[in-house]
Formats: sequence, structure tokens, C-alpha cells
Amino acid sequence: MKDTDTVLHERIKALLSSQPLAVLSTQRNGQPYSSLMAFAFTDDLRSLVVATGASTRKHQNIVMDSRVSLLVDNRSNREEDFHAAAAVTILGTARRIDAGERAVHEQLYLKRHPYLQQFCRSPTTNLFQISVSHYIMVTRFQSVMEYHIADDIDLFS
Amino acid sequence: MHAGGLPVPPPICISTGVYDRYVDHNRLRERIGLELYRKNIEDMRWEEIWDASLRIQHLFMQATLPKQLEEEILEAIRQVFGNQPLAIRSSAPEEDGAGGSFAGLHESYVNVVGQQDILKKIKKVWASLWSDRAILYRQELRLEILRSRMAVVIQPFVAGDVSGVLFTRSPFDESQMVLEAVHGINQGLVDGEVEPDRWLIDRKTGKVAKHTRPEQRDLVLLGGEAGGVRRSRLDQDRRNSPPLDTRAIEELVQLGVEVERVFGAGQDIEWTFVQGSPVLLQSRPITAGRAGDAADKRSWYLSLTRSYDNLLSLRERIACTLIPQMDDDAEHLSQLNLEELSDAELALEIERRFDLNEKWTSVYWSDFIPFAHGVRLFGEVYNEVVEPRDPFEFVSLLCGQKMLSTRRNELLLRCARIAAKSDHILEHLKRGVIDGIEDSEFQASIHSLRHHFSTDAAGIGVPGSVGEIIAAMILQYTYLENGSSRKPGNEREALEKAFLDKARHTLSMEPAELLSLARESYRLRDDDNIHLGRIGQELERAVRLARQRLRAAGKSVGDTLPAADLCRMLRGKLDVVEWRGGEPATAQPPGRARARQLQGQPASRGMATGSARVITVPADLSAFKKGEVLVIDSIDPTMTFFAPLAAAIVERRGGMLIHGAIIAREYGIPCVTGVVGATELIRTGDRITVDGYLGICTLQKKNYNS
Repeated sequence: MKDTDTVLHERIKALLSSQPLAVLSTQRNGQPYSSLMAFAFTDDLRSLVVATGASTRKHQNIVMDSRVSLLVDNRSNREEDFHAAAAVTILGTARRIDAGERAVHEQLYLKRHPYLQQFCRSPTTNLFQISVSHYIMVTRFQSVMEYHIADDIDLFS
Repeated sequence: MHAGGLPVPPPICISTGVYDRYVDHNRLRERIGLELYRKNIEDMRWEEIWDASLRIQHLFMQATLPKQLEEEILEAIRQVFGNQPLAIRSSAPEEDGAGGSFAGLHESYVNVVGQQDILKKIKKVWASLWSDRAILYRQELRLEILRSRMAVVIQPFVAGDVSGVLFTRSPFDESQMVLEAVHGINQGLVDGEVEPDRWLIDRKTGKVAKHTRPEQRDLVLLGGEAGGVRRSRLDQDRRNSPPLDTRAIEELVQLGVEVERVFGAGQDIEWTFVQGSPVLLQSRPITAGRAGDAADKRSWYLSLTRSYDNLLSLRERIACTLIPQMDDDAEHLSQLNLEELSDAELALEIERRFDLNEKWTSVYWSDFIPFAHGVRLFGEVYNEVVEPRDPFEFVSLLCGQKMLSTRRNELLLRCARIAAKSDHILEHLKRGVIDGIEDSEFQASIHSLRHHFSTDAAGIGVPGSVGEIIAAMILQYTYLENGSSRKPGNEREALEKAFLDKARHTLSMEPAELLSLARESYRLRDDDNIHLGRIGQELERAVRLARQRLRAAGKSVGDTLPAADLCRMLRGKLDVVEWRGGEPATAQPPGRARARQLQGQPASRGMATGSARVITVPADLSAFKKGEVLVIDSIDPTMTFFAPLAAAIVERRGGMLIHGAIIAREYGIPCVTGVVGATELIRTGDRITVDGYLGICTLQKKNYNS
């Protein structure tokens, strides 16, 4: 039998693979702010990549406070979601990607979202790499499992 | 059948579309989903499925028909049947599919009178799609459970003099028909309450090949004057005569052939005789091929569903014969001085005790466990009569009784009170020793504990741990301010009175007798393990002595060596035993996955937070501290002495009526049962909040190494 770590890792990966979009949460002066974003992720689940125009609010928010949270879920917007849907909350820190390391991240991003090539390659679009500290996965309405990438036991430290 | 020209009362059918309207109008679909998908359905024990079923059926009965729909149904019935009494039957589309036979799985009601009762019985037929048995069966056939729907067939009620069932092809021999018949209406036979006469008939010749009479013809079910079913006793004449004569059998066989011709397959037919003529009530295809393999797992569970009469006689047998016999056996065993026996005699004694333990364990499964069905039967009846908002309200009428486990805990408290006044006793207890304590009152209580309440059973297989566990528990009990269990309040009396008042007019059985049966069933469910534990601990006493003697003689004897090997060694026929056990599983190093919130069933209300104490072997109990949350795979009543100390109980095994839940309710502490992976995902020392309303446990891990 597979151990709990492997099973959870696979479940999270399967959920991320099934969803092109995530809700990204940032904050400014304590005011939370949520945006729908295309995202890509690395196989080891340690990193996510998102892209945004330099003039957007979320861009400014990330520059001021790099701590972010994302939500990915497979809801179908029907009643049965309550027992059948899965959601994962992701906590991490975002970092703007410099020109020197852009190629590898851009490749990861465009492989998932080829239709966003023009957007992604615009000189006014920035890529951000999010280093994930924790995943919190919810299934069956109230079952919650955490997957810790970072060593902090406290999610909010 | 009616269209095929067969003698069947003209029916009207309420289609599955109406079922869907009802379900959607009341938004029941996702409530069912949330109930059944709390965890993987394959991980649910049948007890948990019964619990889920009770909640789902309760939702159906609480829900309301849209006004317009209600009027449409009643108008259609009025037009076709006027004010005649009705039969209201289930007809699930899956029932007649190729998958399997659902005969008897869903409910049918006869002699239904009056608009309100008609509507109620229609709801009950719909609800029966979610009976425990129906859910289990559909799950085994891998049907999509949430997609299930139910149609209802309404016919005039035909009160026949003689009724029965005809299988046009025997599941065991295609060349035969099976005919079963009872006096009165069919309900008793279909529910298994009345034993029928049975005929095997050769299909080729139409002649009777074999007639089997029931043990006795006694009970008869008849239509009640104000509707429903009335139970009565047969008169002497009909007791002595089979319900069918040769001519009637021939008529039925002829009818069976006819029905088979209309449907083109073997049929399972319900029929009745009215004034000498056969009338068909219902017919379904026989799907014996599937029934065989599906029956394997179900048969034991289905055998637990006992009729009321059967439960009454089981109670008699358990209370008057089995328990006294078992206690006698335990008493005899405890009085024997084992030290005086030679090695060969000790071997013989171990074998005798082993056999006795086997015998009583098998009685436990064959009689005690089925008797626990009394609680479930009462729950179903209570919900039908009282229609409470909480489908588990009936449990509050059953708890608060004097049970062996709560009496034992009172005795532990008495020991603690004595100990608290004596430094000498406290000092011994702190060292985990009770034998050397010089206090006659204290020792008398300890003797009573060990003798009557099989406290030693908690330490079976872990030598030396029994005294330690008892000492540790008494020490913890000294911290208890008030050890008495929750007092049954006025609320309980009010509920009881309300039930008895309502039930008096509606039940075919005596309500007070049913309640007393249910209480005994509830109490015995806990007590029987303690009675059985006394035999187990007597076996253990002999085994322990054998180990001591063999070790003293220089033999290498492991703690898990089977009794049979010990006996052979005692007789000098075996010298060294190969070690066959495995290492106890070592805990996995902490990984990256952590449980944050685990979901189970809310089995006892309340909310509490504490440090988790995970019990993997009984000896772990000696470390249990007051205020901790007990996390365990499954609790035996011989181990529930920690309950007054615990802040809450979390159990891997699921159910509302399992021991952990029973004892938690007695002490009014929160309990969540059916938590998958509880003892692996929770670690001793985790901060845990147990929510006994929602059925969830939330964990706050302290650090990675806990």
C-alpha cells in the first residue's frame, strides 16, 4: 500500500493538473484581494508560476507583500460538489522572475497555456515564481489533509 | 399483468418522475450525497450504513410533498379506488433489471386507509429505497447509488384467507417450482415473521414432489379494522390444516405457468386466495444466478434482522439461560486452585478453558449480537411513531441505565476515594502495584473489580500489565470530582411518556414491552462483553501459570505462544517453539502529509479539546491521564474504565451504537466514531478538538516529531 505522503502528493498533483485556473489572494494594508489566474506548477509541487501585467493591482500587491495564497478546486457548480468536489489551498511566497531565468519558467507556463503566448511574452508582463510552503486539501466536505513542503509546523509563521 | 389478462387488482403507478419531483422539491439529493460520501462507502461497516440509512429515511419522512402534487395523487386514487383500503408497493426500476433481485428489499404496505396515511406510506416506500439493506445491495451490485429512483404501485388491498409466494423456478432446481403459503395475509411471510408451509412441485407433471410443514402454525396476520396489520393467533382447526389443498395448489401452478408465459421468464409471484379464487398481487423476475454471490456477504447481516417475536424469545434465552450459564462457568473456573494441578492436569484445564471460551464466543456471535438488533428495531419504530426532529432521539430513552461498565467505574471511584486518604495506598499505586496494599476495604473492592467485572480482560496478552493499568486508573480517578454518570433528566421521562402515549394507538405490539426489550438489548450489548471477558480472563489465568512454570523450567516461552503449543510443552511433547510472530509495526517517521481535520460520525454531542492519547495496545491505557482525548481503533467494554477521565473519545470503528459511543453518552462527553486512519493519523500529544455535533476532529500538531 502506498504511504499517506505519496497518496496525498498524487492527489494534489492530479487536482492541479485538472485545473487551468486558480484564485490568487494577495493583500494591501490588510485588505485581502482575490484574482483568477492561469498557473503552472513543477512536478515536485514546490513551485508554481503565474503571470500578470506590471500595472495590475495584484502585481503591486505582490511587490509590497510577497506572501500569497491560491485556491484550486474542481467544482462543477452543482449541488453534488458538496460531497464530490476537492479543493486545495496553497500557501507560499512569490518572487518576480528576472530576465536571466525567465526562459525556463516561461516554457513551463506556456506548455500549459499555449494560447497565452502573446500575453506572456509582452514586455509589460511579469512572471512570478511562487515557492509553496503548504498545501491544504479538502475533500468530502470536511476532510482536511495538509502537505508540508516547508518545515514550519505553523501555517501562519 | 393486468394488461396481460391475469387476475390482478387494477393498479395505478406513481412513476419515478414523481419521486424525482419530491426529491428535488425538498433538495434531498445532496443531503443524501453528504450522508453517504462522508467516507468511502467501502470503508463503511454495515452499522454505519444503518446509521446513514436512518438519517436519510428520516429526511424523506420530514420532507413535504408539493401541495399540487399531493392533490394530483389523491385525486387519481379517489377516482380509481374511491375509499377502498389500499396496498402501496415499491417498484424500483433496478428491481426488475438484469442486475439482481430486489424482492423484499423495499417496503410495501397493505390495508392503508385515509388520505394522510396514504401519503405517509408513499413517502415510506420512497424512503425504503434508502434502507440499509437496499443501500448494501446496490453497492454490492456496483449500481450508482445516488442515481437510484423509486416508483410506487397502488392497488386495492385484497384481504385473502390464504396467501403466499410462488417461485415458478426453484433457485436450486430449475425443474421445480417452490410454493410457500400461510393462513391470513401475505405480510407475515414476506417479512419472515410467519413460517410457511412449503411445497416443491415438479414442473413437468405439476405434481407435489415434497411438502414441508412449519414447526408450528400459530401466528396469523390479518388486515386491521382501522387499517394496518393485526397480529392474531390461529384457531385450532387451521393450526392443524395446511393453508392449501391439492386443488388450490393445482390452480396456483396453472397461474404460475400463465404468468411466466406473459413475462417470458421465471417469476417470483405474490398471490392470495379470496373466496376460493386466486388473485395475483405482485410478480418479479427471478434472478437467482446473481443472488447467489451477492448473498454471501449479506446473509450474515440480513440474518441479524430479527422479527419482534424472535427477539422476545431471544431475550428470554439470553437472560434466563445463557448469561446465568456463562456466569456459572466463570464462577466455577475462578474457584479452581490451579496451583494444585500437575503439568498434565494444567494442560487439560487449559484445553477445557479454551473450548469454553470458544463456545461462549460463538454464542456471542450467534445470539448476543443478533439481539442487539432490538435497539435498531426500536429506533425504527420510535421514528415512525414519534417522528422526532433528531433521528437518534430514541437513544436517549435507552441510556442512563445501570450497566456493568458504569457500575465497575463506580467501584473504581470508591477505590480512588479510599486511596486518596492513604499515603500508603497512593505510594503503591504510583509504583503501579496493587497487590501489596494492606487495606482490607480497598482489597475487597479490588477483588470485586477483578472478579465480577473482568478488568483483567483489558490486559489479556500483556502479562503484568493488568495491575499496572488498574493502579494507574485508580490514581487518575482520585482527580475526579464527581464520578457519577450523567443523570437521566426529566427530559427522558417526558420522551418516554410521549412515546408510550402515541404508540399505544398505532403499534401492533405492546409499546412498554418493546421499550423494555430495547433497553435490555442496549444494556446487554455492553454487558455481554464483560460477562464473556470473565471466561477469557480465566483462560488467561491458566495460560499465565503455564508460562510461569515452563519458564521456571528453563523453557523459552513467548507471550504470544498459542495455548495449544503451551499444552504440548506442559506434556513434554514439544521442546522449543519456532518463533512465528512478526515485529510490532513501528511508527512511520513523520512525513510531509498531516491530518488537519478528520471526519467521522457525531456519536455523542459536545465539543472538547485536549491532548490526544493514542491507544494501540491495552497496556497504553496505563499512561492515560485525566483530561486527555482517547484515540483508539475499537473499544471493548472491558476497557471503558477510562471514560469518566477522558475529555472525548475518537474511534476508528464506526457506528452510533458501538461501545465507545454508548459509554461516551453515559458520561456526556463528545465522541466521534468511524474516523478512517484515526490511530495512524493522530499521534499521542497532538492537540485535538473533538466536535461531537459535526462529527469532526481538528488537529493542531505541536511539532514534527510528535
